[in-house]
Amino acid sequence: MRSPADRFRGVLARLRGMIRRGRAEREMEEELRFHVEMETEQNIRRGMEPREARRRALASFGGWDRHREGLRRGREIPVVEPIWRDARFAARALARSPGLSLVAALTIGLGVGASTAVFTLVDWALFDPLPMPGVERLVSIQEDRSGTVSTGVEGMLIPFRRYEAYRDRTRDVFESVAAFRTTEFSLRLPDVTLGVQGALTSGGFFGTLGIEPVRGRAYGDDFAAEVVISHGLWRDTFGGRDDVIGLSVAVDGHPVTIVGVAPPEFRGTTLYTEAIWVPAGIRGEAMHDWNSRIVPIARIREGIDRDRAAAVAAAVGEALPTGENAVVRGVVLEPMKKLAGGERGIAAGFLAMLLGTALVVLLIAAANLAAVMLARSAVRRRELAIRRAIGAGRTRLIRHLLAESLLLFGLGGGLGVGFAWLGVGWLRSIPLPPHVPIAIDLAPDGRVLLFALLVTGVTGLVFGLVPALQASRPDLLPALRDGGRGASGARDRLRRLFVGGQVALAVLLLVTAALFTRSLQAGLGTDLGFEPDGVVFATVDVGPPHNYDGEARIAFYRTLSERLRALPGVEAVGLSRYVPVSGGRSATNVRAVRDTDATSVHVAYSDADPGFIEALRYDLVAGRNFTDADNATSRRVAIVNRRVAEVLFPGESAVGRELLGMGSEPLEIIGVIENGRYVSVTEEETGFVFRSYAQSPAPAMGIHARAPGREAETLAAMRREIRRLDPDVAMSSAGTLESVVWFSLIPQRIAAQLVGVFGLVGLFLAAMGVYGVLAFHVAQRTRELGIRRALGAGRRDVVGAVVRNGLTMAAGGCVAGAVAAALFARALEGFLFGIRPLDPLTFVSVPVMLLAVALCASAVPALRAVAVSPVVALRDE
Amino acid sequence: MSDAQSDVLRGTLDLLILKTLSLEPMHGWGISQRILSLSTGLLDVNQGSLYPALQRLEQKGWITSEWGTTENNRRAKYYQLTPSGRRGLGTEAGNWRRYVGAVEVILGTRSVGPASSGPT
Repeated sequence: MRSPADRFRGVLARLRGMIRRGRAEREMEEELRFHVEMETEQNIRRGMEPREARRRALASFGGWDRHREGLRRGREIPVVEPIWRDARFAARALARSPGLSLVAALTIGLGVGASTAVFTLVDWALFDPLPMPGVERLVSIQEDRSGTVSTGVEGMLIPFRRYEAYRDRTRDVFESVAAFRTTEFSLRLPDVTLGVQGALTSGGFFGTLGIEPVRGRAYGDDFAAEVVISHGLWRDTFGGRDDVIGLSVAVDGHPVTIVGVAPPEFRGTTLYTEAIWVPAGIRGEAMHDWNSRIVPIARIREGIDRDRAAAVAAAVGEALPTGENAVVRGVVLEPMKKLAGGERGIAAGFLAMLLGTALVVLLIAAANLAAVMLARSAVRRRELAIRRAIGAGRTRLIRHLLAESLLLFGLGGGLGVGFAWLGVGWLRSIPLPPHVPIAIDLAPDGRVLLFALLVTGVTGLVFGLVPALQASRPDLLPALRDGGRGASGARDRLRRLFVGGQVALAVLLLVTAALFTRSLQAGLGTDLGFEPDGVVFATVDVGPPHNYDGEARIAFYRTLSERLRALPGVEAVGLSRYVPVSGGRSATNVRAVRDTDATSVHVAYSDADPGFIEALRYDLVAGRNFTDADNATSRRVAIVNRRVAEVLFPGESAVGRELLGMGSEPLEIIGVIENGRYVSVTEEETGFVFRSYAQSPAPAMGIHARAPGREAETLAAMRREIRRLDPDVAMSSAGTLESVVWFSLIPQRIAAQLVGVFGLVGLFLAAMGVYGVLAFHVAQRTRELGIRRALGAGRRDVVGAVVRNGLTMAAGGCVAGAVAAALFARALEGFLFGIRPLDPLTFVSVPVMLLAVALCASAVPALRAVAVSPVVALRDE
Repeated sequence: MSDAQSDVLRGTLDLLILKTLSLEPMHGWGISQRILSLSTGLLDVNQGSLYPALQRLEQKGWITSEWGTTENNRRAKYYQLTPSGRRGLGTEAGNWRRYVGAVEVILGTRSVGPASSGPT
């Protein structure tokens, strides 16, 4: 029996042999020579002639070379060394045309880089597990209410009391049950009040997650007056000081003590970056109200399978009172992920689209390389034929050719990882506006490298094998006879197919890029109905736990507005329930008359004060703005947009008419504004109604100030003035309206830029492909063209033939690409805006552009073909 | 090569090499000569299998090699048994004896049955 140590020694011996190949070879020669000499001497001693003695010795030894070859094989490490040999062989072959090889590797690098960079994003959003120990046993408990599982975090909320029942009655299957709800807090520190994203959690939250604070400890009770802050908040706001533990602060006005700092990798249980975790009982017994809702999560006991746990949870859930008009029909345990439910679906769709386009770039690059390899193998037909003739088997040739492709792909893959690194840097640099609390901490990990390896390997095998199979076909005799000059029909067709395919894929990419670019332009060019430039906003919430009701609420905002108006550089200040195009909305149906069958129109609505219409410069096409007289005691009034006016009062003036459907009392329409965008930039044209803020004061408002050139100062002043009014009230999301508009278009923006770059790379590669095939064609047909010219073909005929050749390839690709793009565009419909998926301009201009590029790519080879002198061409044998 | 000489059976060569080397370190040619003489001229080692076998045994770690000089002052590669090679020789020899014994038993069996009953 061979012990592992022996085996290891054997491998070492072989390795030594591989590294010191020369020395091993010399020693082998010497040993064999010694043997023959000894044999010879023995023969001489037996009385033979020296020459005869040596002849007999050699004869008895047998085939010298065969022995040597056998010994060499014996020295090899199986698998590794044959591959090593192939790789060295391939490297030598590639080094003979370094320029071509470099371009090919770069091309593959671009493809691999693009897809790997995008995959990094996919990996981060969808696959990267939350950083909790044993995260595979963490689930969220989702109730199937009235037959459907609601999607998204909102749909996962259940009353706190139901969570407590799950916690207490599922101990058989769950190690522990906890709960959280992401929300915003105002965090009052000694010198500043911050609006921070965080979560209200159950006492056992950190224990269930298995997260240990890096400083201090976690809180352990629902009612503890203690909080844990994130590593980021600790570092940025507290300068990483140790004495933060034990510090007294106030959260939403409740005095609490900071008891712990979370580890840096823990940023909460969703995609959003949370900065603080607060026990749910901070608001006292109110958490047991039926409308106090929370997301339950659980850690399944080791060894319990999820179905069994779900069955137990369902039995508990179905037996509990729901506190609402809903029946719980079942319970689903969802693995805890950064993105939950519907959000996950939307993100996955968008990311799949990006990844798809990136992989198309790789496909183009791979097809390009395959076409190049085919061309090379055509030039090397003679070499290959000779190698076959002297006994190389077909598999061996295929192995060598495949090794060349794979080596190029390998180099490309290496470059690709480098490109991906740059790409990820670019993705990270996309600034997210401050009202979007997401930290995109992209970092390529093992999965990303595996992905790069996999796509490189698979495309390398597929696109390397095709030319290798083609080139190694046993068409030996003709190749030897005509010196590798004759065109091989099948090979030529294959090459044209590859180039046509590249053109098609480039069309697909460019159409996609163009659609996104046009969407973006449409978005940027959209008449918003207001002027966002120079406007800053902040959202403020004085609802519970703060104590502002009725008049106090109005007074708070009135005072704040007045103080802001007094600031230097501030032109106008206004309040509205929702910041325009930031996604916030209320919606209902409104009618013009009391008849329920009357025409109704779906509207989004908000509440605004006179200053808001003025500050954002809404265009009043009829009637008047709100005034301070439109208050709680006067008649209820509304400003509608033109769409509402036209649908409800066609051909008449809407001003002075009544609007029904918002509250019990009708509203009097006092003004009409031009149509615009309200909830998001990319929304369909919609009806919109502003009510007077003073007549329906909400606790949370957006305060807007037009202060061109003084945006930063004004934002700082807003924060200061709010704190001066009430140190427990925080200004939460804040920024410029332009950044809100910018962010509203971020999918279109990312897609347009990324796919645009991909499209340009694809276009370049396709142009190179067309050029390469034609140039090669012309070079191969020098003789034929010479004969044609000698027989009287004009320049025009020759140029025409070459260009026609190029254009047919491109035209085929354009048609195929346009069809593919049309199918793809339908799938993209949800991401497009302002244009139809089959946008005529795009679908005409992209193929035309590709044909133009193909024409240019054909021109050089065509001119070279004309330049062939008949005499030279015929003599060139 | 006379009819009485036979090529070394495949599989037994390793055993013969190990046995030879258990007496003293030896070079390749010497091993073949030693086997020939120990077998009183009956076993002639094919050189084409001798050197691969030495290489194999060396990779297995059963023998090691070292360059030395012969009594005639020539450089030659000497092979010698390692401790694990010595253990290997023991097991291989045991295996061989069992094998030969078994074959002997079979060959010694008198033929009975259908062989004697044929058409008359």
